[in-house]
Amino acid sequence: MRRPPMRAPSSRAALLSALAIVAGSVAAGPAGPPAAAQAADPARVGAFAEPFEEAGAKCVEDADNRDICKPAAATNVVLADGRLLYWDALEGMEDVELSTAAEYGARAQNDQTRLLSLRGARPTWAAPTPADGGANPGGAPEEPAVPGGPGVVDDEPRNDGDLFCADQIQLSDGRILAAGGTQYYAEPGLPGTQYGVAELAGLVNARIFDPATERWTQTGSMEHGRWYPTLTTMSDGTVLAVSGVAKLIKPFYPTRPAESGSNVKQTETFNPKTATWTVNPATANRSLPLMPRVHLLPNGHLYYDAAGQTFNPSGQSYDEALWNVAASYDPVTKSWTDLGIPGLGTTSPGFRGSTFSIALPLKPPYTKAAFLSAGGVSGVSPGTATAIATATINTVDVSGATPVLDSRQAGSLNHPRWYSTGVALPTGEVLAVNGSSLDEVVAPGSGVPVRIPELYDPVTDTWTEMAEQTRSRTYHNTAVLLPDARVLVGGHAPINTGYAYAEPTGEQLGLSPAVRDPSFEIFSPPYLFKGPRPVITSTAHSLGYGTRLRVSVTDAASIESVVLVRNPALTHLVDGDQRIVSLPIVARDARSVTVATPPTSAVAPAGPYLLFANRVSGRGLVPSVSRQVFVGAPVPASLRKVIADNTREAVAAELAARRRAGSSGGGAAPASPAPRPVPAPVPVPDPVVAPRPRKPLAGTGATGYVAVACSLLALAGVVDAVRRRVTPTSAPPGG
Amino acid sequence: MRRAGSLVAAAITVAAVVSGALPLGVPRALAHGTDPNVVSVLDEVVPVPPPPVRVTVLMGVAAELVVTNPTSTPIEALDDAGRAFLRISAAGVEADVSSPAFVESSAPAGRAGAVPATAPPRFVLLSSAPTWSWFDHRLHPPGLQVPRAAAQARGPSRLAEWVVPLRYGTTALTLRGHVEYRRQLGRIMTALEPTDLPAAIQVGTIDGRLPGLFVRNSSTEVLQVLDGDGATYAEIGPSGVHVDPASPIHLADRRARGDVVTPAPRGTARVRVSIAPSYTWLDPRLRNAGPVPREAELRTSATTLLTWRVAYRLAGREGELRGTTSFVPFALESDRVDDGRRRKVAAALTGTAVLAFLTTAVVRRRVRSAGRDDGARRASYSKRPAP
Repeated sequence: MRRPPMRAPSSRAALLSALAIVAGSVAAGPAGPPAAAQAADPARVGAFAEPFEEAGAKCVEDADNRDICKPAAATNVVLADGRLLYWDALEGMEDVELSTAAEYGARAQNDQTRLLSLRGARPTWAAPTPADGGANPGGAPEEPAVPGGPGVVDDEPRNDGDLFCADQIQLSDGRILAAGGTQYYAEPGLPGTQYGVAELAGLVNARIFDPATERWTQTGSMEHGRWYPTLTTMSDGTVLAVSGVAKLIKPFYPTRPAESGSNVKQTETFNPKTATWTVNPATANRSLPLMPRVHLLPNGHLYYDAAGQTFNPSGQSYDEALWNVAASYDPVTKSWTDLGIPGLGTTSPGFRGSTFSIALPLKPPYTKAAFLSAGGVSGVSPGTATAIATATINTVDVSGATPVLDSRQAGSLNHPRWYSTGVALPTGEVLAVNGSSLDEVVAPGSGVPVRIPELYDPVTDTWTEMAEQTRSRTYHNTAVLLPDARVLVGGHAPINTGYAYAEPTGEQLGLSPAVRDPSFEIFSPPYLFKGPRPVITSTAHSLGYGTRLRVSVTDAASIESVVLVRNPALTHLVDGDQRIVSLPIVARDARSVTVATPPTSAVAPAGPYLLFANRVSGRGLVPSVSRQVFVGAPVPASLRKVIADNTREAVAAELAARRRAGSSGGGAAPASPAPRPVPAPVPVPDPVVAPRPRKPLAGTGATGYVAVACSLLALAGVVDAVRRRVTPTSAPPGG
Repeated sequence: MRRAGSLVAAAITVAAVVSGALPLGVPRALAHGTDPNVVSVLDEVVPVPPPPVRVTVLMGVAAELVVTNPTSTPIEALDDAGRAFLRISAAGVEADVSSPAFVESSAPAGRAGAVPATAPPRFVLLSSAPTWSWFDHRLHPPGLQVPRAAAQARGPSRLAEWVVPLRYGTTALTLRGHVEYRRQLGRIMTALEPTDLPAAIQVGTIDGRLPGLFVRNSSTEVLQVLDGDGATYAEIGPSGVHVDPASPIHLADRRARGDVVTPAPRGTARVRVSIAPSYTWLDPRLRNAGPVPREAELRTSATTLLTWRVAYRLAGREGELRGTTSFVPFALESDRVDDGRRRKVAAALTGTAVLAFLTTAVVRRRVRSAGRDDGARRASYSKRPAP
């Protein structure tokens, strides 16, 4: 059988799409340095510190001739002990030689986890045990698309339990639950080779990470395999898992035809006390997008914000139109209620893909919850792949028996951005950082990175450009609020093949970087440059519901608000438990404020929170460094000492910084004390110009360039095709 | 030069595969092969094999042939020279791993030249199940062209015919099919006209492959949504939502959700589907069943494909929800989302075309340079295939 040559019309069609995509990216425009950034007033635009990354070579070769590369933070969790737990995405991409589609089923590796500490003068790293989470070590039978399995090949034992595409949340005791993930194989595949069509199966596995032991352990498994699920903690401490898909590329289930061609509709509940999952009744089923944006409402219901991950312009589910409707889930009746179509009547109604959905601060009497989304792409498939700039605030009123949705457009972003991470700051502002001008799942590397973060001011309803970040971070980026109110920005783990063999050419042309980025950079928001920061000198570390909490703090008279921020646990723009709870100040004296703690676990589900006090200044709110507290739960015995030690050291350092700033003030407003020294940067090699240690290459190196060349030559062909369309040929009409 | 050409072809093929298959991003069940506009269709199997034997075309990342043969008589897949490269029967699946046809059928983009055509047959057992699927590249014939007339024709255009020979025991089977071209240049969107409904009743359309309606009725009255025969499909009111399980709208909605439904007889009691006074359903009346006219795809403005009406009854009074289903070009959709960007897109298209030509020249130069100076080549991100 001869291999068919390329069909010009097909290639033209594909390339027309590529042209449209690239055109869209150009239309979106590279985000140049903003005027504000050029002024470089950190009190207006904040400031980025130098990037840093784990020491050592970017990639090293192991005994199996496989590249082991430093993980990029595609997932990031702020642990209650102050450290960060992060893990990689798409490991093994560096080993792909020809085609991701044809090889990645065999070349993929379980992604590695890391522990990062920023407490010292320099960041330090440690590897948990086992580093990959340890799920599914022996693999599991793959479910073939047709009975008997058309050539299912799974020769690689170490990519069957990947944490990549799991979701994770903080349990009430500060341990981390991660459920789902990826099992790679090829279907069909050529036995004895690394070639086949990569398939990504959702895992049923769930694991728990214990910061005290730095170990991952396996807990009860789900009934349904889930790739891209969303986990959300409910008011009773149980965890609801929704959506995900059991097979990404070819979701055909001969034994379950009703479930074919769609995401997992069944929901499951995890009980941390019994470490078991329970499949909810059919009334709890719902068709949802991958990694749906789901939040806990202050009445105990869950809320789906009509947003999730899509891979435009291709489709995911036959019934994806249903994703346009925001809905709430009642855990008592285990049923969903359709609330409405967000943005109905506006220019961007309904579903939004690849956007964040940030829960804005919950304020007394806790009867309304508002959610801000911005950027992403519009509509379900076949939607556009071009990023949009619009922002929407959906508010759910839970004062009645049934939640009521109100939706309005907020001020638009200055830069359209796909896959931008949102970070809720303790002051109520929201930072949008990272992202690209285009949906890069569709055409990897085709987007123009957006390197200008923006800050949303809920008072003025506007976005302001911030200082430019150093690194371009698009697909699988993260950004999390640190306990000291700075923002740790990291990640970027792209798909390989679309970059024409991962050549740097695209990056040199201003497009997204072709390879993973294991570096971090820390952003200090403007509020850290607006004068002295208040210092929480003491407070209880465990809070009950409906009681009072005394917070000893400097500047007590000027403390405007005290807030609880759930310890972040973010991946793929999603943190199912993300919330800020504003605690009303009920009393105040010279050295402290007393606040009312959350009334119920629906307002603040039990678990670890960062407690911030915000001082009012003439230039806006200035947050303190937070104190680690546990709401509705005792401080775990295993964390008591480290939390106490951390607090003691932090208080001493913050007070010393205040004294230094005050003594050098000379009448001017003292500079904000650095909450903690910015970690000295570990040299970051420039991926474009600096070679990384690796095995000698067998090839000539020309192939990749030829690939790039032919892509661009083909683009030229597109122009030719357009010209032909414009200029009539001698062919008779219809001929 | 020949090698360079094959590299070019391989690169473009892979690029096409990736752009169509989205290796980690999914066309999945809805994909139509390397080019989403090209669809392979199986028309007939001659002669018809015994009932237990099933032959289908599966549209995944690329067109696949799927054969299930639970009988003891083997079905053999033959290459163009009549050489068998697959044997499928109740005993399982055997493949001639020395056959170029088999090797090529293992990858969506093929693997030309991976094994020599002269290698002697070597059959190995692949599976004990009586089913196999393979990328048979005859399902998208080489040199396929899209004539201007076909590209501008209304609806799917039949581009080419294909034939795949099988053998069932000693009986020759012929699979005949064709390739259709359906270019997608925009998406279908619905719009609802202003209604006479009270403000307490909110109605909206939802868009997707199968569109639908959302209704929230916060009034004290029950809103009855009627089907095409004037019968009540759904009642939406203070006591929640009840639907007629025999209604064709309900059946269509459930099927569109992927449910396997058994039609209930007319007169079956209504069932409650929501305890809240709101409901969303996928409504076939909003769906444009026919192909999108080629003129609509080439237009720069939206084209109304369908004007639809959905009757309702509220407090004894009948009314209609009226709306349109239109084809909206992608570029226009971008403008709809972000006002004022049309000119930027037009400018960007022009700029990109220029950029493509300029960059081509640069990259060509780099290719030549890479060929001359491999040793001094700068950092590379990935391994290269052996020359």
